[in-house]
Amino acid sequence: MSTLQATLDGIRAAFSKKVPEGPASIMHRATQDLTDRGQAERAIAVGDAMPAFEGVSAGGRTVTSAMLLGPGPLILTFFRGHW
Amino acid sequence: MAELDALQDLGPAFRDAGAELIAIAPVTGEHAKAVIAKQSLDFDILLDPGNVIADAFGLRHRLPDDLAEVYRAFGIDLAQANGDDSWTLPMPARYVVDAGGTVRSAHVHADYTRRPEPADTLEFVRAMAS
Repeated sequence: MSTLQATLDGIRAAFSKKVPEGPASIMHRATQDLTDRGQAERAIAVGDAMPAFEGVSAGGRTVTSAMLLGPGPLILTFFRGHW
Repeated sequence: MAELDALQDLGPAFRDAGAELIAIAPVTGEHAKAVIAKQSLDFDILLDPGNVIADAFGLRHRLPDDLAEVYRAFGIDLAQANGDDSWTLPMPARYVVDAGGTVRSAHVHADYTRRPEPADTLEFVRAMAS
């Protein structure tokens, strides 16, 4: 069974073959700049309190962070979208 | 979305371990519903227009203008796809939070092509229960 990272690496390799060098280097530089700025190190981390939040879900229900917590662990995944 | 598929595959195992899973993304309701249907997701997607929730977690960043132009040239208009013109995105992240609201695991990546293994998240969640 392939790992998620192996799948993502495959997607990235296939994508690299299709993207011309100019755009590809712009994309790489943007990622590198974001990495260099160190923002990931300043994000909410282990030991921090989860910030309170609320919003509307795809199904149209109002969801608050308080509603999501407990009794077991909550797994939150932030993703960028379909592209 | 490979990551959502991989999390969905482990959905039953996460539930057996007592964990709840929710995704957060700056997408429109229509797009989120389409993703849920297409990938048969059992978990919900919380809409985060403009990345306000992502910002609270320190994840929001603005696309540089030259990158925004690259995406537009590819036919991707972020303002249209996400229904907001902030041209911001979240750094992808996966968190595990305990019942008291304390973050117990955090993986944040500036490089959106790197993601933690769902199997590792499952192992972590199982260890929390024991």
